Amino acid sequence: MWVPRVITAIRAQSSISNPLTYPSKFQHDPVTLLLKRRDLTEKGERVRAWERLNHEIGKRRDKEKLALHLVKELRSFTHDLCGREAPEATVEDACALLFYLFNEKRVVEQRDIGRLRLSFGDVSSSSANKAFKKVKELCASLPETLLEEVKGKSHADVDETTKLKAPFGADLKIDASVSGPPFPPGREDALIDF
Amino acid sequence: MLEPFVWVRYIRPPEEEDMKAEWLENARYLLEDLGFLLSLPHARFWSRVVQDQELHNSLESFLNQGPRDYDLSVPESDIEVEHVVMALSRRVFIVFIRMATYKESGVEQMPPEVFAQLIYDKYVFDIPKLIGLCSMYGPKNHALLTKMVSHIFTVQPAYTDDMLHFSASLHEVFESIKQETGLVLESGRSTGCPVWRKLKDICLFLVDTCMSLWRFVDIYPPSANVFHQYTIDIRLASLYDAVMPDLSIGVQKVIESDDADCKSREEGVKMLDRLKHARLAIINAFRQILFIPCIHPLLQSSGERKGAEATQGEASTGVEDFIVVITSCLGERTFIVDYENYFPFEDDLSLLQQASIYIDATRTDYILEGIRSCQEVVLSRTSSRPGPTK
Repeated sequence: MWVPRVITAIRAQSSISNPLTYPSKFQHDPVTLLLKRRDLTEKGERVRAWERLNHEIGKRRDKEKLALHLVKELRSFTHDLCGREAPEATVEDACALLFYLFNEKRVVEQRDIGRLRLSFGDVSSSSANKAFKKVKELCASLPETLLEEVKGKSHADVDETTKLKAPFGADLKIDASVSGPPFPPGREDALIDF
Repeated sequence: MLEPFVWVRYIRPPEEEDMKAEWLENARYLLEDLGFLLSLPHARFWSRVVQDQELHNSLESFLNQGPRDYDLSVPESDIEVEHVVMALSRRVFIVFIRMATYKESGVEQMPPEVFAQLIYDKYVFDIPKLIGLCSMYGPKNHALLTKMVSHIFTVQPAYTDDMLHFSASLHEVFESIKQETGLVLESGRSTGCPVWRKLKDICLFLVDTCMSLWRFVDIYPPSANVFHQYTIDIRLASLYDAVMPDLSIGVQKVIESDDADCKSREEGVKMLDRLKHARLAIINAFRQILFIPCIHPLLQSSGERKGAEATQGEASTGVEDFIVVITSCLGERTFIVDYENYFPFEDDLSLLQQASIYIDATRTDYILEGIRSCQEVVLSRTSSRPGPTK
């Protein structure tokens, strides 16, 4: 049964909507839509870097220790880059580097420097220091809870004693009723009678 | 990795009695699963929200297919169905509220910037979802939604940029409504009466568009600034004039047609009522989109100066915009007459004068004359038309 809703139409034609959630009636090529959405060539890389980074960090329990380790590795790497004239590094650049460190080898070798510079850019020592600081803050701010590796369960597997024990928002005052007369945005008597 | 979890999608309650049992089973699965999701601790809840796309498809299905108070038929005839729909509606809303909350307790929280990045990059919220939420839950949960939507826009300013894209899409929707209306009415010209099924679809789509837009602007007034920037106000007036009279007359013809069955007549009467709501929604949305960016800041700054005379420079942009929009809409006669009945232009002038804001009298006289002319034309047009059959 088709329901004529404006959000369905907007989702079908808008480049700002989640390309993965389309009703079959408006099924479009998600890849095309994905590419239309903002500048995803760069953004997609960043998102993937985040995902991989989260996954890697999620395997480790000691967040602080890990952050220190990351900074140490970064410092060691950027030592080779100090003194070069370069654009200022950003958190995203640092993330891209972290992504590389974790996913490729975790130990940077001299022959990788050129390749890394392509994504990281050249950095001056002050910019590198700024980047270290940002990375340190970033690592400290990564919420442990978000990174927890979760084993989902189907509802059938849930222990009955914990199921719905304290659902979020149990005492929220929400009126979810839809029956009754519609809610007009004002009096209707002043409208022209067609 | 998350273990696979099968999320069922919501479909509307069936009209056929023999489909009811299957629908109830499906809906109860979803109800239970959402309960399970809400019972998860913060970390596990967010892991699933971030990684499980099927969850979002399921929630989205409820926003798409779920009931609105302006739908023609609501599941009020069956108590059992109504209870399940209400329970689902409540749970879906709570899931969205939870997804808009980054701090659940002193321990269970994440930094706002991480939250902002997650909800945007993972499409936890996007503009269609926010519109859907306002449309569905707005009338009865206004304060809660205002807090939730404002919070989302505050933590993630990228949504404001997305509003511009949304405005462009909205414009396309308006154009498609105009086009479809023309086609539907044209198709019924030879028989003297449009095909009810097609007419109903386009009317429902129009009602949903207008009500959703108005509810969103009402719940999140800063959106008016973006809509005004994209001239959605002028486009709304144009839509009103282009389709409202013709669609209302088309529905009236169906009601009066000898060929129409009882159900079509009954639905037609309801549809006329919904179209009136849509007209009010357009008038109110237009008002918000015009008033908030143009007039409201002038009155506010005037109040702050405690009655001191506004400088011409400060007031000129807002007033200029206001005058330009109203002047542009003078060609949309039906709209102007209806709008004038609710928000008289002279009242706005008086308000601005009280705030010591200068407006060129020649331009205001031109507008007042234009409004009077619209009233005369519309009055002569409606009085020459045969009245509806009682």
